[in-house]
Amino acid sequence: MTKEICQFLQDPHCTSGWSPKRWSNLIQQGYANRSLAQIAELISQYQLMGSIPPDLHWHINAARTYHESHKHGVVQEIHALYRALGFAQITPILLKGAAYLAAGLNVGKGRVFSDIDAAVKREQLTPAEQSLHWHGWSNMNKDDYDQHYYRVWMHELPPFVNGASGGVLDLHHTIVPPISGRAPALRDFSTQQVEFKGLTLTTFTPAAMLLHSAVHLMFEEDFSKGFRDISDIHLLASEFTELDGFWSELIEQAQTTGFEREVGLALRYSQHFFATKIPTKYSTSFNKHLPSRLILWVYDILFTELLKPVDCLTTKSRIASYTALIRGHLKKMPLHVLLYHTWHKITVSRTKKEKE
Amino acid sequence: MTRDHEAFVTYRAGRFNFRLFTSISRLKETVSQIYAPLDPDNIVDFEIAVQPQRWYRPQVTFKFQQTEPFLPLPANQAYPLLEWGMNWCVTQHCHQYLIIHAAVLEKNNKVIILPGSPGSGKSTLSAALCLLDGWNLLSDEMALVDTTSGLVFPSPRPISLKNASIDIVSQFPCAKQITPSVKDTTKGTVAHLVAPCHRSFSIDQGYPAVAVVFPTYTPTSTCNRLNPITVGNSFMRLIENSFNYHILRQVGFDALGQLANACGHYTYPNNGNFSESFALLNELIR
Repeated sequence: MTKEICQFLQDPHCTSGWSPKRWSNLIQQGYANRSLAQIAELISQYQLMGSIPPDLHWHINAARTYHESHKHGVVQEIHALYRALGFAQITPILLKGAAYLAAGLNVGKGRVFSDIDAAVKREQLTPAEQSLHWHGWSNMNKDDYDQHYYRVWMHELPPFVNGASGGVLDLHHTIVPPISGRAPALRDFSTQQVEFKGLTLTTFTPAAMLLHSAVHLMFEEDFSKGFRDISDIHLLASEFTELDGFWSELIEQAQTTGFEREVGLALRYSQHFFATKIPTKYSTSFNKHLPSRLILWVYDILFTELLKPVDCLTTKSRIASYTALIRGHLKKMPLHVLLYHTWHKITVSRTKKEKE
Repeated sequence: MTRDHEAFVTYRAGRFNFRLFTSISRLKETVSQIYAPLDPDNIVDFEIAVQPQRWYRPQVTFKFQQTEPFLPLPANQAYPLLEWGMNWCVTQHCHQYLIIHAAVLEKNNKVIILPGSPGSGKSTLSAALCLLDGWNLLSDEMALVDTTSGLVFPSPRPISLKNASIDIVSQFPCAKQITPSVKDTTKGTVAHLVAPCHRSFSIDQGYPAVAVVFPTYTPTSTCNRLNPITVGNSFMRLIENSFNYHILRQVGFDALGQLANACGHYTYPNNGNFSESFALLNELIR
């Protein structure tokens, strides 16, 4: 039987006539997949509280309370970031969770995330970093190798931590590692301005947002939050499909940046789990870029395992997880760099253990 | 469904329903002796798993859904690990309450709150009050303060006894239900005591708190005395002892204010003379 969480995210109305046990399952799956606050938002949006057994109401209310506090923290971090970078006349582009929240999207309602992600142009990295340091952020990875890893190969600087709040910030200059040979320039992504809590903030446009989310998912090597990531794609697509010209802009952006295959795959798995509605004209166009049949067969096995919703007893297939780990790394860096990186990580962890 | 699908027990612990997946039959036995079993189809608040791992120097792990909040412990500590894990579930998720690390006891429909760090003697004192002086245990570990009414809600679970207090309490005449001692945990030797319930008190009802008493066990002290402290002083200490004040923010501030304004506040250095403690604490609920 399809898990309650997939049915619910696909169409919250499907819950009419649910038994108390099914509601209870939904809540437990919400905890397991870190989406209970998102479920709580949908419950209030669709006015479903009355159908939920009263003994379970507190889960929904408590999840909203927790999310309110999370949101409060995020708003403060965004304000602090804008103050710090404004000092260097740099306007960052908010990415992922912070952007979903700032743009008031459905996917952002109740979504809990650990870091703030933002991007600046590559040539702005140095002044942005200096300004962050002056305003109380510091770099988390001090190790020489990690510094090299991030600064030379990766698409982001080593994570920053805000000394006053403890919040973590990832500062990007593009969306995938330059060492992968596939990094587009930040200017290839169209941006928009949104009003949020007294600030004018910059985010990607809807098409660029979905593109980024899809690329991020398909370059991932750690799928512990796999279900949340694929439900992001579904919620973004379901909201944006209402906008005029969204799908054609998505195709255009995917073409410019060379990520048609990633978008195609992400939409494929979103449809697999949530029957996401995509106009036939556009889905045929994305399907053209999918891998060959054999590879697609392997991918389907791999990604349906990695992206499935989990529960208390789920242990994801180890073979799938290791395959994803290697695949994700190989997408991020060429083989010779990966071998060097792996060799370094193994020897370093060994010497660290010896020191202990 | 994966392995051990059928290996579970559903039970009520305090105010909450747990479904425990475990292949450790001794743990299932202990749990069914201590907690009321529920129909497997009942709704649950927390699905948790306590499972063994490794064949050499075997260990147990605790999981709530996919989260493992603690490092694995030696296999003999399965039951204490389960108790700590259940506490964690409540303190991390039940934001309908302001949760304060404290023992809570009731008599005459009035509640006293005993916040305290480990070693303050609050568990021993709670056990003595329940077993020897007719108090009801609302909770050994946490005061659940309703954020709208400021009332304290019961969630009675076994009292966690540590080290010397296990011997003291097991000599009380009515201490019948104590789990076997588990040695060498991070808190030393621990055992859990099921506190008796004296009068039928309702788990669905909130109780007004009348006093906040901060006990400290000082064996050298010559007399037992309640020292009044200011509401402000007590308020700050209660915040320090709270698990989710930072999440509730304004709501937490208001709830705690409501509770604190209705209470007397005391520190209580005591030397473990229970009969003197009974006299002093009964004064507070008269």
